[in-house]
Amino acid sequence: MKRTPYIILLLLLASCSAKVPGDALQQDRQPAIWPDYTNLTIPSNIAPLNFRIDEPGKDFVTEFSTASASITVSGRKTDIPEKKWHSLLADADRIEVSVYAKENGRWNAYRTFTLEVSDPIDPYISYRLIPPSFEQYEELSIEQRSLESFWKKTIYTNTLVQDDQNGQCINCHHYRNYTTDNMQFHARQYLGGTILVRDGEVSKINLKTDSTLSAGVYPAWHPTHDFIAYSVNQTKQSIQLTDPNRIEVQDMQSDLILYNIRENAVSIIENQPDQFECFPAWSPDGRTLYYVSAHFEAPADDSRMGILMDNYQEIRYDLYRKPFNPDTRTWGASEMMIDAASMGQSITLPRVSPDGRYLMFTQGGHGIFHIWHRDADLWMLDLQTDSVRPLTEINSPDVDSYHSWSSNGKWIIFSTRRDDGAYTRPYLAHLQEDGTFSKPFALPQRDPDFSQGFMYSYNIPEFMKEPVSISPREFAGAMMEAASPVNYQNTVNE
Amino acid sequence: MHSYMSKIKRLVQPGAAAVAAVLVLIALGGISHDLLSRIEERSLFITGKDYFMDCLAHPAGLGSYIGRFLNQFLIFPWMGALLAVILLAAIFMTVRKAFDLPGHLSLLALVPPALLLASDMGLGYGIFTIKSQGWFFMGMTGYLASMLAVWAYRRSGLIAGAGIALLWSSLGYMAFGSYAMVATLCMGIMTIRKEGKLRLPVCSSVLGAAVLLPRICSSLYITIRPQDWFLAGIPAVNLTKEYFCCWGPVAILMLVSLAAAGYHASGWNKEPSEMTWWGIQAASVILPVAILAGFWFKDANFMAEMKMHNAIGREDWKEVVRIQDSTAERFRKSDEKVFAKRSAELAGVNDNSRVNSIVKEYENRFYSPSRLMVMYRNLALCRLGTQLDQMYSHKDGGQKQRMPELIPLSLQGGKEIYLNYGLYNYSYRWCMEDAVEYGWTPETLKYGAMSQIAAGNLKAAEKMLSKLEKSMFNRKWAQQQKELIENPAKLQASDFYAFIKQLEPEDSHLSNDVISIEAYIMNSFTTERPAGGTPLYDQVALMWAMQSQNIPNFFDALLNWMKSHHNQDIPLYAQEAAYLYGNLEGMEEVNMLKIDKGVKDRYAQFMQYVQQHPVRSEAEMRYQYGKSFGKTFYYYYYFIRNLETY
Repeated sequence: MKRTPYIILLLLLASCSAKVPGDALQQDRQPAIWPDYTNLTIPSNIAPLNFRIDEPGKDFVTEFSTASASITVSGRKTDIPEKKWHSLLADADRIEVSVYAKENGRWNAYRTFTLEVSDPIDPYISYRLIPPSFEQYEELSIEQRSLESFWKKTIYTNTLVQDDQNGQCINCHHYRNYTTDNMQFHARQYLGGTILVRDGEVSKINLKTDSTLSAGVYPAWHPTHDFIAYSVNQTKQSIQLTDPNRIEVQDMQSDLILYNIRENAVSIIENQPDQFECFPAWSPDGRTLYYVSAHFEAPADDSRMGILMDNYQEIRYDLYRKPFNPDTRTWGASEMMIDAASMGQSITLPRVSPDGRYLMFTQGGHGIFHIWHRDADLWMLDLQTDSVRPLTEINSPDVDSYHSWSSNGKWIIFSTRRDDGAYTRPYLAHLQEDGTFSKPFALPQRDPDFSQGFMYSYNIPEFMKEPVSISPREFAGAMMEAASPVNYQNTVNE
Repeated sequence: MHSYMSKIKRLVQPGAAAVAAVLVLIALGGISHDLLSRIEERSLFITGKDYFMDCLAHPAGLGSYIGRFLNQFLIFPWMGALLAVILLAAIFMTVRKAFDLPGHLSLLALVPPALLLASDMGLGYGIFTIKSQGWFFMGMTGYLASMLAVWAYRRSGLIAGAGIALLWSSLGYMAFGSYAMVATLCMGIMTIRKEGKLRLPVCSSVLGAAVLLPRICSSLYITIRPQDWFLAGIPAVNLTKEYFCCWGPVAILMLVSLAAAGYHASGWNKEPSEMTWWGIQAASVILPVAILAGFWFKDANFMAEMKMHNAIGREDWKEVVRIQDSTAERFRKSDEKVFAKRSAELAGVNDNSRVNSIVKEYENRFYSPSRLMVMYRNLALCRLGTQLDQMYSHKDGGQKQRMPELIPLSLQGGKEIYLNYGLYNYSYRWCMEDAVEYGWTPETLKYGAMSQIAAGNLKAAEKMLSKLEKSMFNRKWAQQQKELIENPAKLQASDFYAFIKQLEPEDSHLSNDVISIEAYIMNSFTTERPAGGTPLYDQVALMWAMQSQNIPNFFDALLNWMKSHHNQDIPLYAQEAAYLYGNLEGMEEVNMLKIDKGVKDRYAQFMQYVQQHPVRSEAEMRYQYGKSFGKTFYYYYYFIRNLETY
């Protein structure tokens, strides 16, 4: 009897150390696993790529091996020890993954697949968690997560301030040059305003002036100077009667403004009548502003909304650029870069790679809010050669939209509904030397089933070099304060 | 004689408690059978660590987790009712022990269980807007755990007790919320009875900790506003005077608990006289009965709506119609009495304003079904294919919910009604809106999955079904639906989805129901007929056109119906509508339609009756006309008008 605890301990230890079966029957195919992590290029600092083996069997063994080391884990769902995983990655160019499944007393060995270890990735991402609902919202949060581990922490959540009667929407978190001591996000409705963190100091501002359409919406922080370009939008959300896209978000009006942080003043960048300007994005040198704009003529009276709703499929956005001198704060003339409308297409979300070589955007058949358009795909414009192509190697039949470049320009993260057609999930892909991308893969999770059961969408995934150190309560404290007004100043054109 | 009385006295208390338990069991499992079943649908319990951790991310998380676990048994209402009775009985016994109630006050321990039950059964339509899941059992488990802690505290020494109190004020708060805070306050008060030199410092420390520690613990959570820390775990709906019926019982329970602690601290334990003893027993029975009678939500339409919803879930369409009829039938005699009383009051009154004021005063005393009941019933008739022959054979009306604020019908019944009328994007919309506001539930997952299956978005449906598969009692249903997804032939052969597909609008466009489900469906069916409208579509569209009381809409829908139903006789109520509208508009063409003699005769009788009984106001004559013509379209057109839908 006295030996019983030792026997149990030994049994437990034995169960922890998985052994690769020696007499397995080789199968001529790779194993079915979820998420699909077969044959990837992965960052050298990525968190363990846990997956579920979708093969028949009772017992499972998975071996991750390099030329010099290996990790072996058991179970249908892999639970790779983090430290061992990072040791493995540290010395490897390539990891071979062998999966074994025991069915009817016999082990099957599936064809090995590989993980090519490549450039490191920014250690953190942040994203908004939001249910893909129609009009209601309740618990919204902006979260941060390590890409090197499964650590995650809330940056801010509306549950800290809102009540049953007064809901608060939060959105558009954005950082200056991937660092978090200069960042911003917006709150709408209850206690609305823009939370601005400048050199670690939190404040709340109201970017709406009498001369502008709305408070700032989609932001683009200038890479070298204290400016933030914003779109200002009046939007309308409608419901599709039967279309599988379900929701259409439209601009009723939109312009671009520049917020001068030092002078606490906004000025107009673009506000052409019958043009819907949106989604500003700076070039890495801060001397060009890219944006999209749609031309559509509708009277500015009560009939406007109805006309825009009836013609939603005819409103298409083209890609533009506009020169800017940050020292003199003067603007040059806008220039259309891609006339998407003439091709029956609509471009949104231009984002330039940190080396200035590529401009990635989302393209769909119409409209501005491609996250609800199943035909939305990622495209890329080579700014050196002016060639443009769809990123077929990473696109899916479902929505592929909001994308962000890593600070070294080697990785992208983007939102896609490819998994279940309803919830956006962040996927990562590597930019290769030839300008193509490696096979995209889902953000690793400790439990590979997590994403399938998770009922929130990942919205606006953005890379960060460091975590946000300001606590949710500090943000909530700032949120409770009245928003400081901003001034309006005139635009200077060349 | 003395020994006989003492025998009776000994039996009175256990007897009363046992009777109370049986009555509660019957009231819950029997009378409130369908309500319990509906409550089950509004709370989800699934297995898994992530789900457990999600619950613990909120203060009172453990209470919520246990509450959700127990809630799933309400799917079998008698079993759920039995669980509730067991918990309430345990509370009754624990309260006696916790406060060491003397024998003559034992029955007063029925008051806390009564208040807890009242807080659940008084919610009424609040069950659709309550934000915490598992609330039905959450109060019971939280209070029971807290009373067990008080009991342990009472039996401990001064210092050990102080330890229990400090632990409970923090861990108890995190596990069960404010019930633990009140329990710690009780402990602080009860310290006065304890012996020891440090009695007063311990008492004040415990009282201080009872408030301070929960406040500090609440700051560990980012899922609650700092100022709401004292509401953790309480299924509050709206802390306003109007909603006292919802939060009142819990507030009273807290005060009663503190009073019991005060009584214990006073050490007053005088044996009462015989008369007083009986008086206390009588009061101890009357008090819980009065609490339950006062707070229990009593609304026949509410209960009927629950039953009809459940019958729709079972696709028992005949039962849906039967429930509405039987509910109306229950009020037949009372309506007659109201009518007689009102007639007596109106007799001889010639002053118009006085007449109007009497009519208004009595208007709400007549029974009327709710709009949701009427929509449910019409949907059932559509499913049975008899709507155009039967829809006005049943009572119509628009009784509003008996609540301070109206709960949108879209939230209550939008999911199933939209889905069955082929508007699956809107069904999905209300699943999502409901889930976002009140969390995913078996109801939202079921209708969400069905609407996605109907829309052909099978991956999204599968996601919802997979979640439902992790629940104990909805697993089988989810697996059956998954079988349909995996087997296209089976899906195509499904009568349920085939019906929906036939009603699908052809072209999508942008719209918004602005929460008003009835107006939106009516507009959709009367103005957006697809080019290839099916015979079923035209049948349903004709029904909605009649409901709209719009003459051009009706004739458009009738023409469509006639095109897709070649050589078929026009259904009864469509004949009545055509004949009435034809006469009103002077349309000769109506004479070309085949109208039954009975329809024409009834119209003539109706018009004759109008001449004999002039209508001063619809409200005044509605009941009287209803007795003779209540089952005609003519009555519907003239007397069921301007109903507010929400």
